[in-house]
Amino acid sequence: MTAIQETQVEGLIRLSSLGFAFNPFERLEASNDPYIADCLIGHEMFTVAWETAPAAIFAPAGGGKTAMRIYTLRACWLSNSKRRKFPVSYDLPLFASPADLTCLEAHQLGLAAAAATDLLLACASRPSLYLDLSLPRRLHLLSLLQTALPASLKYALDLLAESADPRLLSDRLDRTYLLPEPALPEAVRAFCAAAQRDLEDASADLWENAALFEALLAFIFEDLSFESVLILLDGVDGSGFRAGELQAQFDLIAPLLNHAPAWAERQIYLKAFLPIELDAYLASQSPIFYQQSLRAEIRWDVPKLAEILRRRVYVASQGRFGSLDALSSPALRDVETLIASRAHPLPREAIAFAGIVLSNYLERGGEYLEPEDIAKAEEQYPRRSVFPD
Amino acid sequence: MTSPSFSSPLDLFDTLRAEDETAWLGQVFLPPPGFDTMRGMRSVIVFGEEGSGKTALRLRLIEAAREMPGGAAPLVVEWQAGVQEEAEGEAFVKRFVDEILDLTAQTLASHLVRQPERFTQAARFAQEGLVWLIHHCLRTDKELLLMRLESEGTAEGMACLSEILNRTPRTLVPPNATYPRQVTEVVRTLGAAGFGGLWVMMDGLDAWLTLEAAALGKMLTALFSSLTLFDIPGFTVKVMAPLRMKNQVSTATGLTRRRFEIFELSWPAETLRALCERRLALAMGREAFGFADLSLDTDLLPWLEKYGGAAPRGWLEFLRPFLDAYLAQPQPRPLTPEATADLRRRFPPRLRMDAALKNVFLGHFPVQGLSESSLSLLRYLYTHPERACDKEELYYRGLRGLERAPRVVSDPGWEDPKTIEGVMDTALWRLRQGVEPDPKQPIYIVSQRGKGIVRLENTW
Repeated sequence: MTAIQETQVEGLIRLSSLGFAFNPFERLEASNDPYIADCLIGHEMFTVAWETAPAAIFAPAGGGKTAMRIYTLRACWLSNSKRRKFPVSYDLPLFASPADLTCLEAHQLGLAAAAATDLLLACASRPSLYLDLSLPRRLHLLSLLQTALPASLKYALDLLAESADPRLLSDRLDRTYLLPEPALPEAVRAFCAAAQRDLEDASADLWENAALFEALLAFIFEDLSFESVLILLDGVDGSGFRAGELQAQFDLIAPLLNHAPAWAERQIYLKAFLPIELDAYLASQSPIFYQQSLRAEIRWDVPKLAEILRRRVYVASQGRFGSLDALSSPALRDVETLIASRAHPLPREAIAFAGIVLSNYLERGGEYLEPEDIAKAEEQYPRRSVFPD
Repeated sequence: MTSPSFSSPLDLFDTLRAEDETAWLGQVFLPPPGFDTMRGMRSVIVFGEEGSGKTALRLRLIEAAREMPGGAAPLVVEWQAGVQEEAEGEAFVKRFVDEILDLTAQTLASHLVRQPERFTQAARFAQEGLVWLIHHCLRTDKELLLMRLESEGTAEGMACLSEILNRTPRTLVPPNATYPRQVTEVVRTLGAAGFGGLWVMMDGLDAWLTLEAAALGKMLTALFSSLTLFDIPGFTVKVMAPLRMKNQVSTATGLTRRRFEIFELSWPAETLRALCERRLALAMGREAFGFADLSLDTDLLPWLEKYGGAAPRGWLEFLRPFLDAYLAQPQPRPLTPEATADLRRRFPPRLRMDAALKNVFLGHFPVQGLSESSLSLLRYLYTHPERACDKEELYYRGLRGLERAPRVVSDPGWEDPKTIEGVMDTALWRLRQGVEPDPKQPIYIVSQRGKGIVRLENTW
């Protein structure tokens, strides 16, 4: 479904009369926000995600872990540095059933699926990555993709050929893996034509899980000349069933943490975006990883949260205005700060609160956003929230 | 307002079940606060008391889905709850997804036999996707499905579906793919065929809550905790849930982490009034029909507001006798205040106690401030097989809590009947002050003069 359709579905035609192309506060989850790439703001903890070292980056639920992961993977593709980093986006629930992840080999299957997905999406957005390869190396890549991709490669290429839009492919395979500045449709079609033609000659080899992931890594390092690989681990509590079960969460990722030092020696860096509850637990249960890796905690204050809200207003209004102040009566100033100071200090909560304010304003049908819209939201916010003890 | 077919105006106040009112519900529906968000693409849980209009809301949301502009209407499937064995945690979610996939394939097939152009005019990859979807997701017997849909579809539509069922599908996701990936592929395939996503409607949980509250709570907590499912763009679940369930599912991470918008269905009095007036107008075949057209009694609205509660069903139920009386007149004219007051007395809100026998309600109005003595008397009468007994029995067993009433002076606990008479008169006076609309003319705690019998009337 396109973003335009979603706006229509929302039924908020009034939004467009205010100058919005979409509801800036509809999506509360970075992983399913089609506009997340444009709505990201910088955070000082990004340096930890960017360093060539293993790292654990903690935040509470709704605290911006996934947004930081997406910010990092986009940074990899934006960077002009010669020391190029290939991001492997390993969102656990997307690539494996948590129940199956009992050992490193099981993770390697998931990692292979993630790496294959990311390689295909990278080629779709940067066709030269594929087109500059020699034919034998192309066939090798296609063989790897056929085996590791958690979807039909042929169908994916057909779909891409028909749409010439890498976002459609990303939407199916990993919607967070959106490369900045994707290629023009002609270039995408050229990649598809070449890959569809080559695919007829590619063999579907049988690989062991570990060997498959290693082969993909080797391809990234040797054929594509990336200097390092960042494994961006996310979704540890994503299934939801294990929320609060620290031992279960730890068991899920222990094989990865244990292997992180060995990976680091080969310029493969585990960047674990983890729920804050795991912080102390990890220190006691995985002291080696904890000592040998960087640690960061994503924290938010009112000015930073207000900046998130303003950024979303700016993107949704397509640059027409950068604050809800533009829609507000003179009685209101710096609306985003007012909102951010009333919600729980997390991005998701600030966005949710702002969504209620905007909805009140739209339902009231007044000319300007008024203090009463915020006051009413203050009453509604606890009723429309369920906070864990 | 158009006139739908019904035999009597009273039909519109008959079962008061939205399922029976689909032909004209849209004409009398008024959106509750937050409706625009409810009809959006986010998953929503609407908690509401029985009779608060959850099913009407569900039906209106389905209609709203069809009215999406630009042909972007989502495919809507309706999932019926059923308590299953081994229905906890991820096991239940897998079963749920399995059922949803089957329902999606069936609903899509039903759609295609009526609108085959959705398939025939789709892009090639979209066609391939639809073929895959039906083959991959359908658990129902294909021939039975074809037979069942025969009466629904056109000849062209049936041919289209037969062709789809006879094609060999491509493998779009591996058979062992995780369920979020399967659902993602299904939603994307629907999107490619022009659907605005997949909506799953859940309703009818009230009945299960009575029978299997704990099991249902576990099942739904597991489902609502399945974050990856609710993170799939275009996959939307709209749940109409009993208010009592809110605490049961409040630990679900999908709620704490805002994968769902949460609403409590509450209706402001002015909306309930407008809702009643709309229904009255439709029933009378008039453009508008206000309360003033029904009755000249200015106490009628405050009475409805007090006893009808914050739910449409309460107001509509209480309104029926007045409409009945209005229609019974030889010439339709507003009921007089006297006639209205008489009807209020003859059809009062019924008295009921909750299961724990701690709270007393008149209609939907919770009676507050009853003393422990008054509650004891009421509790005894309410649980009495005949809801009636003599004052002595009520005194000894209801008020004093004895196992049985003493009969002679030598029985333990015996008291002078004159003392009992005085105490009971005071106790009943207090009870009536707390419960009766007009304690001088009691309609709930009624004494049979000369017999010493106290009877509880107008109860559930």
